[in-house]
Amino acid sequence: MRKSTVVCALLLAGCNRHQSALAPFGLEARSTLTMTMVLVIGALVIALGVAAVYFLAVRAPEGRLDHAGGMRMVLWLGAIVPSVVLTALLVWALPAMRPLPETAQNLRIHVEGEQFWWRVRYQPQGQPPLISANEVRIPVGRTVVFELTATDVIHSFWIPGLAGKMDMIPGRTNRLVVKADKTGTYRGVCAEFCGLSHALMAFDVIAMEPASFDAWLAASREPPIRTQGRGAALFAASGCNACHSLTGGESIGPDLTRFGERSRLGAGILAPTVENTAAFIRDPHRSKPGARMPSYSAMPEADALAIARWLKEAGR
Amino acid sequence: MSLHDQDDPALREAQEARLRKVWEPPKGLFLRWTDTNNNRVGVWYVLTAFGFMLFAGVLALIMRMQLAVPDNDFVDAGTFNQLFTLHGSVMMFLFAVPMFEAVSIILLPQLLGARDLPFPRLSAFGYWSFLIGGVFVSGSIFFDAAPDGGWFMYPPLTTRTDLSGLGADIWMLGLSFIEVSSVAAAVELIVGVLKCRPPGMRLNLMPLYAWYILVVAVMILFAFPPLIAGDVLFEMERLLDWPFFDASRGGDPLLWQHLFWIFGHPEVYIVFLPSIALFAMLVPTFARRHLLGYPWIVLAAVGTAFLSFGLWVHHMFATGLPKISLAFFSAASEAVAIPTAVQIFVFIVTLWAGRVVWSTPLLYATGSLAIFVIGGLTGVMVAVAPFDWQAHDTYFVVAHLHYVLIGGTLMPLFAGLYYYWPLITGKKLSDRLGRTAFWLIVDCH
Repeated sequence: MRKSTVVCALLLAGCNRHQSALAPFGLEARSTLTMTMVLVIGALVIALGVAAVYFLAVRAPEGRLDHAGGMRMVLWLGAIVPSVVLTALLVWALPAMRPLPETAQNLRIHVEGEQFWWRVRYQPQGQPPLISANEVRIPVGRTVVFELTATDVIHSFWIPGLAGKMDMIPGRTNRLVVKADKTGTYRGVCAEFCGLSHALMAFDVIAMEPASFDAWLAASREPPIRTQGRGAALFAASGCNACHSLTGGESIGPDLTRFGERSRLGAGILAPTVENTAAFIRDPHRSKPGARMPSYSAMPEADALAIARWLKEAGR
Repeated sequence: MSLHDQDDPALREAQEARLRKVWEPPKGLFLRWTDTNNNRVGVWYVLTAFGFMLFAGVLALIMRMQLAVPDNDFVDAGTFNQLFTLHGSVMMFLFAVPMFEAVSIILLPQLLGARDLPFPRLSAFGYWSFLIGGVFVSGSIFFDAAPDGGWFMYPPLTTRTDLSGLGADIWMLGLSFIEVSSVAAAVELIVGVLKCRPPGMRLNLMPLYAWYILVVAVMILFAFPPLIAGDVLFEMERLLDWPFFDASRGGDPLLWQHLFWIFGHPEVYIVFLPSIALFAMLVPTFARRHLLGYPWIVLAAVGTAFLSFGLWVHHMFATGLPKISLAFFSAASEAVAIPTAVQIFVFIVTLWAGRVVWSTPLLYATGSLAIFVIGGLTGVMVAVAPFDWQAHDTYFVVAHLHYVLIGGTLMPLFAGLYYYWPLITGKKLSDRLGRTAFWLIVDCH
């Protein structure tokens, strides 16, 4: 039963290309995958070896092994061989801990974990910062430095296909240096239990060609042109703008400036359709228990739909 | 020819009656619970710990039910958080550690030829503390007030009173009782091993079980105080608003992680070594010869205990600590595999040298070894920091620790149960049922 489950899980992992340490798109994840293969094969060989020795041991007739022989075996198999194997493993594996080389010119992306979403600030060298949320875009082939922190509770920033995880701890700023080598849309998640909706705290990672990344960054500096219709009026009248910025400024809740171009709603959990957005506005806790956003259950559905439509169309 | 006093049968009978009176267990509906005899208290202790294991097992079943299909609404998110927090806390604090103390309270005096442990009332005190704390913590789930911050209770999620409710206080206060009872049992067992041996039984002649218990009890004395200190800081932050773990007011959330894991890692060996101690008793019996390498086993146990205090940071590889310290703890975490390997191979060569009798306890020991080796090897894998950055906080670690605990704690306890049952009840457990149960466990695994 369990074996077939394991096989299924491996097959599923094989299919999952957007959130898997087994489908790397970055340098660190790639070298860790190689290391994983070596470790798995090594562990299998040792486990089978111990099983074989045990089998021989229980089948051997009495007295086949005398005291001195037994103690030699303990010395070799129990102490010397493990010491040599483990030392070799350390010497081989520890250099992989060295972070990628970085310079002051590298793009820095500041990500802050919040219950239960991600505040993202791009800080390109020599340019003003760009604020976004719940989505991280990185250029392929360039070194990127993530600066990771949190304000409320501990979160952990994990893009399995790109690199290992790094905790986001209030009061500390951890650095994670990465380099993507394959374009595509991937997924990152929170890997430290952070409350009710911990399992619903994810984000999209879009690895782009450097040129298109630069173009996107430049284009994103201009706030999108918005119509001044019913949606805009309702957005202001309902107080949405108290928490959500539409102009790339600092805000309490997730920035919505380029909401229209995001591929997921509510930190990587829902398809960003107008209906889902409207439902999220009226009752965020149904899809995200414990979220800080208040419910707007008294808002008529038509109004919520109007706001959602307006937010969506403002994206390019 | 004058008779010696002791040759008078009536006198001897009277002496025996007086002795029996002194050692008579208290009777009566209430007074029977004031008993302090190690046999009685030990049996209560074992049964209570076993009850908590069944309870936490049911919690796990409910969790697996919830996880059986995606988007299940069998339990809600809040209940689920309470379930996994309580499952981990109960298994660790109310089953694994107390079970070892319980078994030792029963077995140790018998193995050392003593009438009782040195402080019978301390054993009883420990038991009642354990029962009260345990019922307090596990009962909270029936009032929807169970702790919900994970069994590791990382602040600030658990210290901020706006983010976590009464559950965190219940965890801290309830488990303080368990800490008291564990330290009480540790003192009891250390003094028991050192002072209650029969004349002529020097330390290097003790049954290995007593050696392991001595090592583990000393570990408890060093491992629990950091946790108790952490608990005190934690409650002071929650109740008095003293910001030990609040970064915005000068505290540091990582302080808790250090305090918790410098307890938490030795804890793993605190629950693992006593089970290996059971192996050390039953393997020679069913290999029909004495154990090879007594000093090796003792040194390996002491070495494991010593190393286990120097590798807590492998639970914190992803917290952004300096890489050089990660390298140190990575090396220490791998080094602990060496004394463990020595112990395993001592058992294997003993079986090799002897004539194996396939009894039920040995069957369980074999199964447990197979499972534990997988747990140990995955443990070496996660000790490699770069691999751990991917595997940390995933099902890989969940699987690793369950392999270690089922192979290294639970199955050896079953082996010990079949082995020592006759000592306690005077009857042997059914071999047929034992084997059926074993194959059920292995099959469902």
